[in-house]
This record gives sequence, structure tokens and C-alpha cells, in this order.
Amino acid sequence: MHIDVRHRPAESVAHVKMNAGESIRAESGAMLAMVGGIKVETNGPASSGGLLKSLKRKVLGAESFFTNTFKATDNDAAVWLAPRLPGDMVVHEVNSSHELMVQGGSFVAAPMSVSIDTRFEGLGGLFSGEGLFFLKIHGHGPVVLNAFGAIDAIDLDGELIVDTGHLVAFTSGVGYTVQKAADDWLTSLLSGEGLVLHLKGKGRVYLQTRNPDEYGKAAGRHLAPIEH
Amino acid sequence: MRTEILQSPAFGMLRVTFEMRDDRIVAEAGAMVGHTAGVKMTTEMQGGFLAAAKRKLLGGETIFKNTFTGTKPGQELLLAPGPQGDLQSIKLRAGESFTLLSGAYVAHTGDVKIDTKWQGARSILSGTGFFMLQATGPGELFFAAYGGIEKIDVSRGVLVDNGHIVGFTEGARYELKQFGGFRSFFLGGEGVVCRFIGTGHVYVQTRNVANLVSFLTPFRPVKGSDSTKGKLFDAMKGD
Repeated sequence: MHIDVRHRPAESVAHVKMNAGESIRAESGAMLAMVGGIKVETNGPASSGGLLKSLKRKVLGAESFFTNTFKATDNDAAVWLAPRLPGDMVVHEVNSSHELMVQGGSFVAAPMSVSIDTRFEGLGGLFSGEGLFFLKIHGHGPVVLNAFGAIDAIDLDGELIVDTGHLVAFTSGVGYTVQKAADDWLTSLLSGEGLVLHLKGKGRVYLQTRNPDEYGKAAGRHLAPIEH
Repeated sequence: MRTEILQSPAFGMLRVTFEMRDDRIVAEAGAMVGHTAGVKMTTEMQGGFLAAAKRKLLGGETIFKNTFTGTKPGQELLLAPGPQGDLQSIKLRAGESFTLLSGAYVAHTGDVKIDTKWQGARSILSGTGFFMLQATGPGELFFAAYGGIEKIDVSRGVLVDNGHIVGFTEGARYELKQFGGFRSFFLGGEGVVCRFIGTGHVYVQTRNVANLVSFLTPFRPVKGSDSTKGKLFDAMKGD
């Protein structure tokens, strides 16, 4: 399998080339085009069972986590995958040395040698009100991540305070706690920052330079109102 | 006349440099960014009123097209499309055609003819509000996309999500298909796809306007709801 990200950083697309027998699982709606013999299967959320559970996650998460699996039946088959919003994509290689915590909207694709746990409650429960959910990814292989805006990859050895809307992913060597942006709740709310994540440890942190929620609010408020 | 595409792939813009007396470029109304003083612009309804009206109703293009010419060698013109994305061109021989998404047209040089192509019941984009135009050479056609542009050879067969088709060359044939079965249509995200085969290329854009709309829709204000809390918050933020 060979993954090549083109048209960086704003209009990125991941070109995934596969030989017969190889397959890649991608977030639903990510496919733009495909060439060669490819069989497609739709899956519910990676590790939970049943349609109802997946609908529940749709309500909680920013998007439902359904995936399509593309399996090559020919050599030199290829599929083009892209996210919804303008921005960059990066391929992170995961292996037995770490796990990757990925913000739900930032996952694009990974082969079957990579496992995706959608029942990871740790962070998911805390931010479900903001429409954010996290995936725990482990195994070995490439993981394609997307960002809204550009991707800033930080090799952390220490501490970092992060606005959750700007968080794409981080490795398991980095611990996290939720804290208020400022010392008191009033300032935290007025600052517009609310809750932030205090990251501490050693590992890789991926940030996106734009926050979808901020963009949505900035642009959306100027659109024609919805009649109620 | 020299043409140069700048700021690819996110903010594609065309820079034209006039060199000879009869150099001219025709562009979509509203495409002009700026030009050297002295560059002349004439506006007309291309092909006459009825042809222009047909194009407006069916193709979604504006009726008016601007023709730019230079009065001194070295004068420049900058043209840009509406959406964020790439701008590319294709040179067409006399009689050679190119099918292009309505709204993707930016400009052309030479004697390119722009016709509507009525798809009828097999319209690739039926229900989407978009149509396809057909451009016929000789000349060079400049077009833009929402997103980056991937040029894909159709000879092995290519399946393309409908929202991402920008255009295709003569010799490429297509048929509409539903992606997967019933379940995948509703849950898999992909809906209608187009299968291309034959010779030539299909041009695919890496972003989809429908996705931008569905992203922004939940952020639209709701009429009649109490938004004073929101307003107070915004005021204190200094918005």
C-alpha cells in the first residue's frame, strides 16, 4: 500500500495505491474517485455493535462514525480520499510502541492492521456536548489524519495547553487533563476559550490551525436564518 | 499572449500578459481581479441574446462575458474564479470538445465555443442544480474547481463521486451508478457515482460544495430563538 498526499496544504487529497488483497477502511463520504478492481463494503462503527449504538454516536459526535472498506481485487488499484473542509492531511505510522488518540472528525483512513476503538470513553464523554469524540487507534500501519487548516506537528516533552477544537491527535505517551482556560469560570467563559486540555508527557501532538466550530459560527451567523 | 497560473492549488489565479495587437481573452463576468491601465474591456452577450439566455437558464453561467485586449505590449490582466481552489487549462484543437461543469468556466482564448449540453434524463448532475457545458476548440479553456484538481486517466475505468466531477475530455464515456447497495447509500456517505471509461481524462475536484453547505447549515441562526445570551457573549468578546 502506498499513500501519497497531494495538493497540500489546503486542498489535500490522499491517493492510496493498493495491490490485490490489500484494503483500507475510510470514513464514510471520503471517497472522491477510484480506479481498478475494488470491492466496497460499508461498516458500522469499528468496534461497537448494532445500528442503534452507532446512531447514538451520531447524536453525540460531530459526525456519525461509519466507514467504508475498499478492498483491491487487482494490482495497481487506487482510491482518492479527502475530508469535507479545506485543509491538510498527514500520514502517521502507528506501531506497538504507542497508541494514537484521534479527534473523531480528524480520522480519514487506515488499513485493517490498525484497530479503531470508538467506545473509548475517556475523552469522549467530556466533550460530547461540544460534538467532539475521540477514537483510540492502535496496531501497526499508516493512519491518515485530516486537519481544518494546516497541521502543526509538535514533538512534546513537557507540557502544552491546547484548545480542544484545535486538537487533531496525540500519542499515548502524552497524558491529559481538562482544565478551565483561566483561573475562574467567568474569565474562562468570557475569554471565549472555555475548557482546554492540559497535555503533559512525551510524544507527538498534532494541532490544526483552524477550529471548525469558530469558523462555523463566524460564517454561519451571516447566513439566512432557519425558520422555526 | 502569455498566460500563467499562480497560487495553485488553493487560490488559483490567471495572469495574462498581452504581447501582440490582436491578443484577446474572453472571461466570465466577475472574474477580473485587476489589470494594467490601458487594457480594454468590452462586454457582450456571447452568441447573441437567445443563445446567452439559453446558457444562463441551463448552464447557470451569467449572460455577460467580457473580452479583454491590450493596447501596449506587456500589459497584464489578472483573472480569478469564485471558489477557493485550483485553476487549470486545456488546449483544444479545432473541433475538439471538453465537457465542463457549469460554474467552473473562467475564461478562454482563441475561438472556443461554449454550448450548453442538455443531458436530459441521464443528467450526471440532476437534482444538484448544476449542469454541464460543452466547450469546442480551437483555443485554450481555463476552468476552476472547488478544491485541488486531479487529472485521472479513464482508460482503466474510473468511478467518481458526482459532487467532485469538474470536467472530462472527448472520448470519455460515462454512466451513472449507485454506490453499493441500499445500506451504503444512506450510511456509507457516498451516493451517486459516475463511471467513466474510454479514452482521455476526467478532472476531479478534491472538495465538494455540498459538504461545505452541510457543515455550515447547523450554524445558521434560528429565527425567533432567544439569542440574547449569545449576543451578550459576543459583545463581551469584542466581536
